[in-house]
Order: sequence, then structure tokens, then C-alpha cells
Amino acid sequence: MSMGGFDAEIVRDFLTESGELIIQLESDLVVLERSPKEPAMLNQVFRALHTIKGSASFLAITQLVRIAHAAETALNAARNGQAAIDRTAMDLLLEAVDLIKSQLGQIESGSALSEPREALVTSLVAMGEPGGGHSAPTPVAAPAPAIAPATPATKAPTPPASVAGAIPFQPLKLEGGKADLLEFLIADLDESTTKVATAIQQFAGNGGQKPAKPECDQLADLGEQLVRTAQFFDFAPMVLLATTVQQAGMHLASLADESQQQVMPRLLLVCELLAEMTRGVRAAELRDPPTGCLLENITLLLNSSEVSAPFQLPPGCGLEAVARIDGTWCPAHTPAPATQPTSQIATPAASAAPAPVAASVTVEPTPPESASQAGPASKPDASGAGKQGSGENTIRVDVSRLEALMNLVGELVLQKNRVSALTRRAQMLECSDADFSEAITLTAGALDRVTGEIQTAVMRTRLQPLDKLFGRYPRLIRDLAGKTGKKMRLVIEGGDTEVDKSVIEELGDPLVHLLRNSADHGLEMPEDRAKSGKDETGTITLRASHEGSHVRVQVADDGRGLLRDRIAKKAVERGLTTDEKIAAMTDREIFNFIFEAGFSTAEKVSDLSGRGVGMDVVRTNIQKVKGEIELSSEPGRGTTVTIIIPLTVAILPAMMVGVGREIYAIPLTNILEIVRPQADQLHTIGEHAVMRLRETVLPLVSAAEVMELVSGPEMVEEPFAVVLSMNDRKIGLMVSKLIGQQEVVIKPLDESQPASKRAVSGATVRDDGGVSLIIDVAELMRRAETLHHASAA
Amino acid sequence: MRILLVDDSKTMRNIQKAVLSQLGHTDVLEACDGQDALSKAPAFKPELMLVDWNMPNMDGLTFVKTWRQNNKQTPIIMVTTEAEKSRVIEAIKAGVNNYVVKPFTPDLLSQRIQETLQRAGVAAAAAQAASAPAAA
Repeated sequence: MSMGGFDAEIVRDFLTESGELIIQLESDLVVLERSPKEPAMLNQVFRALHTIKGSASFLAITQLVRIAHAAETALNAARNGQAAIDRTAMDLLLEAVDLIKSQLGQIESGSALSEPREALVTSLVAMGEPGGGHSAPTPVAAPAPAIAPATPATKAPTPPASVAGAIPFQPLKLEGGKADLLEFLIADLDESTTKVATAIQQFAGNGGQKPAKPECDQLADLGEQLVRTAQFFDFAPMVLLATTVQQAGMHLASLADESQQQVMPRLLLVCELLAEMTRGVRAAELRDPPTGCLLENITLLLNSSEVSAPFQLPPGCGLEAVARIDGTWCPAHTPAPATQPTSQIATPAASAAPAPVAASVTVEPTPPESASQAGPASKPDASGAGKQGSGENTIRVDVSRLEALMNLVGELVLQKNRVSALTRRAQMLECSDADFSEAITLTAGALDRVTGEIQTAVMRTRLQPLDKLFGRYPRLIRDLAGKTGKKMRLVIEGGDTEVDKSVIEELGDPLVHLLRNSADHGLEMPEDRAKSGKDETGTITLRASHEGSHVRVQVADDGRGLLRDRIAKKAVERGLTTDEKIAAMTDREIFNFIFEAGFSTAEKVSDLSGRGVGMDVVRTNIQKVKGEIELSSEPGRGTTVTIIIPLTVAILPAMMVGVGREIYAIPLTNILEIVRPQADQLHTIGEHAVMRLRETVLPLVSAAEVMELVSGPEMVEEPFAVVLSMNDRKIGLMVSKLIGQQEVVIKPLDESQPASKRAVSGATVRDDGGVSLIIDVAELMRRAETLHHASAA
Repeated sequence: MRILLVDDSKTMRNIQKAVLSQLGHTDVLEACDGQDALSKAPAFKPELMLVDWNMPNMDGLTFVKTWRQNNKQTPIIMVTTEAEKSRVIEAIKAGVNNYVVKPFTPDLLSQRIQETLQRAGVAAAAAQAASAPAAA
């Protein structure tokens, strides 16, 4: 697909960036629905759409631009307070976002883009145009009131047309883009020249008092802005006038009284000239009224020089007199400046102007658009200055490069282990050169440390906050609430918890499933909740936290909870267990039948959570990343599903143990302690071997037996008990030998082999170069249970 | 010519960079928002800036206002969208020298850059001329 001739990388960047923005956008929209007038959120949402649209327009993705523009129009109206974000509006916006999302997918896969639904575009755009009807972008509405005052100007004593005849002018010609700005320019000139005039009139009507510094600064700013505007449009005569205004602002406050008296009437004349030019622009004329010596005289006076005798103004000099003395154009029939000067100036504040107190320089009836935006826009200024250099400090790296790096680090760890092993051997060889031997030991130690740090650093590069994932769910819950007719809210805790990228990927679908389950089966209808004295709105909590080298993610609801009997009954029906065994089982054991394949207790199958094929898939997914899933529930109080996953899946610290002649690796995180039980600690309960450890009794399993190393009665001597724990369950694993701690790099086993049958999660290369299997503790525990149950049966 | 490109979207920066390089401008530094631009510009001493309007942290308008407090001359082109056009005058008053509406063609940008540089030269000369008598 040709994207406006831009190369593939730009398109790919566009897809990545837009994809991220869309996820953020979705969750922001849901937040926005709750607090629809939040300006920060509105701006953020608007900006995200805007960015996507801007890039898309370059890439000539018209279908996407069209829908993004419509949505943006609606949001802009909301920002300006013209439209409200109600439920209907939100549905439209979300539909637009969905469409953009699928369009992005279509671009990625190179398929044809879907066109937005016509009604969708129309409704969104209509939000932006309460009047409906014209197709111009919304903000056009803003300048309109500012242009309106043009009409009163014709009622002024001096009809501009009659004066214009005397003024040299050129037709106003604006190049391409600038012509588009004409109407905004007129509005702005009206406003700016009025502001300048009001300020100067106030100074002049101040009874000879020196203008205050802040007001002067404001005048200088107004002048500077006017200079910039005039420069931009190449209005040379206006540039000169505006520059004079700017200089006046800079010097007036420090000017001697005599100079003030000489300069003020002249400045009032400057205002008249500016007003005349503004009228010219409105009439599409670039008027250049003669200014004679006016500007030179003002410059002289402002620099505290005196004007020569012929230019000295008598006290109380009117505009006409000033114009005559300085040889400028003069508005005909000009009344005395102090009383009614504003009648000449097209101003919305015309009636207010004779009372200068009311019409201060700062407060003017400005068009709502510019007024509302000038304020907030200038604010970040101050806060921004403090946060210097907080620029872009992230870079995007292709995941495959990180994976390659990770693999190399894995190899490095193996080699480091090997060096450590060789060093130990070298020490035993009684090297004659003690210094040499020590140097090797030191070097090996340093290598060990550095490798460890590299490993951590590389692992960190792959960590991402769970928010990336959690951000999608508020939308999901919103939609589920709509579909089920239940009231629910999602509370997210610990979204900043960071986990490995692969974990994020594997966690996505299971969490969707669990959330759906909670929404669909867990939470009750509002009436039912009210009956049982609960808040009508159900709460689903998505919680994440670090737990050592693991991450715990919980999905908890405050719904109806699970019924032990019903699940037990179903489990028996499904042939998963027997009535006798049920009696001896804990609630947890029973609840966890839910994770078995094909198990579902939902009385009616809904299209939301499917047909009970879910939970076993959830468990499989979680186990893929060496995680564990557990469920607890209290009838009437709710259900909590807890997922525990390792931060990373590639390298893990392990204890190497000998079982018979084999050596196995056990993940260190699962080992609580290792003991050498005395004979009086070992017992059998029923047919189960158990060990008394301080106050508790632990089931014991023989590693040789679970790993199926022994088939006959011949016994492998296993004097050590490794106490393993996972999800609050503990067992003791009997092993023959303790070898030591090692970092092991997991090499996956051939997937086609039934690895789980042997409670093995992978293989690794040991520091002595041999290969060891890594014990899968979760599977081991399950096997131990079945062994026990089998022997009990 | 040193050009500072200020835009929060990497895609947009890439696109503009591609356009600029088609025009033969390769000495381009990127900044991702107004604050970033403020921190990078003094050392880079850009001879031209292309500034997006809508950005997080510090938007283009605020950046231009802040920058103009101490740097009157640096030519600035505001990159806007159709919808922002109503506010272009605001940007002009803040001190941008020109603007270009997205999406633009290389030709249009080239034209705007030339216009801007030429006018900036003229304006600088005029400013000097205007300030000369005032200083006297």
C-alpha cells in the first residue's frame, strides 16, 4: 500500500505510535465519561486524536482522517463547552475509536480500509455544530461576534467611506495561506487596536499622572504583538505605527511631565490611524494615511528629546490640531479626545469607553475562543521553566534485538558459571603460584558480579508497567456493564508494577477472561445486590504488586461468590473426583476444579464469558509463563482469582540437587528451607509420608519417585528434605544430595514431548558443562497430590 | 541550516524530517515538546524552528512566547492543522513568523521556509533601522 510515498519505517512508526495512543485514548475516554468536563482529560483525548489525524493526513489515509476529524470536531466542541459528553456522545466517540483501531489493523495487514459509517461521521460532526448546517470547522463561530461591531462603526459621525477617498491605499493582497486568515485577522485587529486605544486614552485621561509601569508593559506587549501581526501580513505602514506604540509602552512610565503632555495627544492620533487602517483591512484595502512628522516626533519625545518649536503642542490640543501640526491625515469632525474618542474606533466596548475605569487595558470583551485559551496557554509557562530538560528519554528498540541480547546474556551466565566452577577446581589443585590463584579467584568474582549486573540491566529493558495492559480494561468493563445491565466499576491498583514484556503479552487474554467472568457470573444484578444489602454498583478490583521475584495479579469481585456444593457436585458429575474425596477436600481444592477443562457452572451460557472453555485455557496461559493461578471465594462476599507469575522467564536462580545419580535444578524462589530430618520427625499418616517441622506437618514426596527415576522397590537414599512452597501450599521434597546454588538459563524442552508429565519445566546447562532438568514446582505439587490421592484410594 | 523540529509525535517528526531532507536540510534536531525544545535550543542555536501546536507538557504557543522573551529573531514556522487556523493570529502575535497547515507538500514547506527566511532577514534589518534612532 502506498502511503503518500513515505517509506515503510514511517508507516510502521505511525502504527506503533497510534496504537499506543489509541489504548491510552480508550481508557481516557472512559475516565472522561465519569467526569465529562475535566479539561485536562478532554485536552489529552483531543491531543491523542489530533496526533493520529495529523500523521494520517500526511500518509494520505483519508478514511482514517475522516473519522478522526469527525471525532475531533465533537471533542473540540466539548472543549469549548458547546457540546456535552453524555452517554450517546461517548458511544459515538468509542465507535470512532474502535473504527480507527480496526483501520490501523487493516493498514498493518495491508488490507482495504473500512469507511466510517456515514451516520457516525454526521452525528459526531453535528456535535460540533449545534446549529448544524454549515460545513466549516467549528472555531469559525468564535470570531463572528467580533466582526459584528463593524456595523456600529458606520453609525459613527465619520463614515469611513468618505474619508477613505482621501487616503492613499492599495488593494489588500494576501498570498495563499494568509488570505485564509483574513477574517481572523480582522477580528484580531479590531480587538488589538481597541485595546491599544483604551490603554492610551486611559493614560491621557489620567490628569497628567504618570502611567503605571504594569500598564505600560502591557501597552508595549500589545504594540509588539501588533508589530508581529502587521509584519506577518506585510502591512508596512501599520508596522511603523505599532512599533511606535511598542516604544511608547517602553518609555512612557519614565517620561518627564512636559514630554508626556506633548506625546499623549500624538499617541491618541496614532490610535486613530490604526483604527483607520483596520477599517481599511475590512474593506480589503491596505490604507496608508499620511503620518507626516508624527512618528518621528513621538520617537524624539519618548527618548526625552524635545521637538522643535513649530511642533510644540498647545495645552488641551485636540486631534485635529495635532494632525495639522504634525501634517498627518486626520479623521474629519473629530470630537475632543477626552470626551468621545472611541466613536471613531470600531469597538465592542464603545459604550463603556467614556468611563475609562471600567474599560481597563486587561479586561476586554474578547471573543470567547481567544479569551479562554490565552489564559491556560500562558500558565504552563511558569511551571514549565522549572522542569528543564525533561525531554524525550526513551527510545524504541526492536524486541528481537532485546531477545537476542537476552539470549547472549544467558550464554554469558552459563560461561560465567563455568569459570566459577573452574576456579574452584583450580583452588583445589594447589597451584604453586598463590598470587596467580588468588588473581583468578578475584577475576572470577568480578566476572560474577558484572555478569549479574548485566543480567539485571538487560532484564530491566524488557520490563513494562502493567498499566499498559490494564489501560484496556476500563473500556471492557464499561461495555460489559452495558451488555449485562449490571452496574459495575473497575478499580485498578498497582498499575505501575513492572513485569517482563512476555508476561504482559501472556497475561492479556487471561485477564480479559477473568474480568468477564467477574462481570458476567460474579456480580449480581443491581436489584439482587440491593436486596442483600450491598451497594448496587459492583466493584471489580484489578490489583498488581511485586512479591519478591514474582508479580501477584488479582482479579477480585464483590459478587455472589462460589458455592462449594454446586462446584463439588459438578466436579463429580464430570468425573473429576468422587463424593468420598470431596468430603476431605478444602474449599480451595474444590474451587480450583473450575480450572479443569470443560468445567462450567454457569446456569445459562452467555455470549460474554463463553461456555466454560475459559478457565482451563486461562490456567494453561498462566502456566506458560511459569505462573500459578488460584481462586478463593466466600459465598455472598465475592471471588478472588490470584495469579502469581515470575518477573522474568529466562534466567532463574536455582538450587542444584542430586537425586540418585541425576542432578536437578529447583527454582530458588520456591524453596523455603532445606532440612535434614531426624528419624523422629518422619511419620506416616495413613499411607502418606509426612515430616514434622517445628509446629507443622508437611507431606513428603520422594524426588526419585515423582521424577520416576525408580520403578521398583529399590530405594534411593534421600536424606535431605527441600521444603517447597507455592501459593501457601508446602511440601517436602526428599533428595539425595545438595550441590549448591546456581543461576540457570532455561532452555525450553521440545514442546512435542510431554514435559509436564515429568514435572519438568525446562533444561539447563550446569557450570560443569552437564545438562540438568529444571523441576516444575507447580506440577510437582499436583503430582504429589495425585500420588497421595492415588495411594489413599 | 540548523533546523529544530518540535513535535510530540515521532511519526510527524519523521515525516517532516523526510520532507526537510528532500529539501536538502539534514542538520535537523528533534524535540518532543516545548520544554524539550527550550532545553535543546540554546545549545543548538537553530536558524529555523518548525513548531507543532498541540503538545503535552508545553504546547507550541507557550514555547514560542517563552522563547521570544529572549530570542527575537529566530525564524519560527508554526505547524498547525486546519482546525487551529482560527488561532494562527494568536501564534503570530506570540512571534511566529509563518505557519503551515498539515498536511503539507515538500513544495509548500519549501516555499514557506524561503518566505520565512527572507522575511526574517527583512524584519531584522527593519528592526535595526527602527531601533537605531530610538537608541540615539
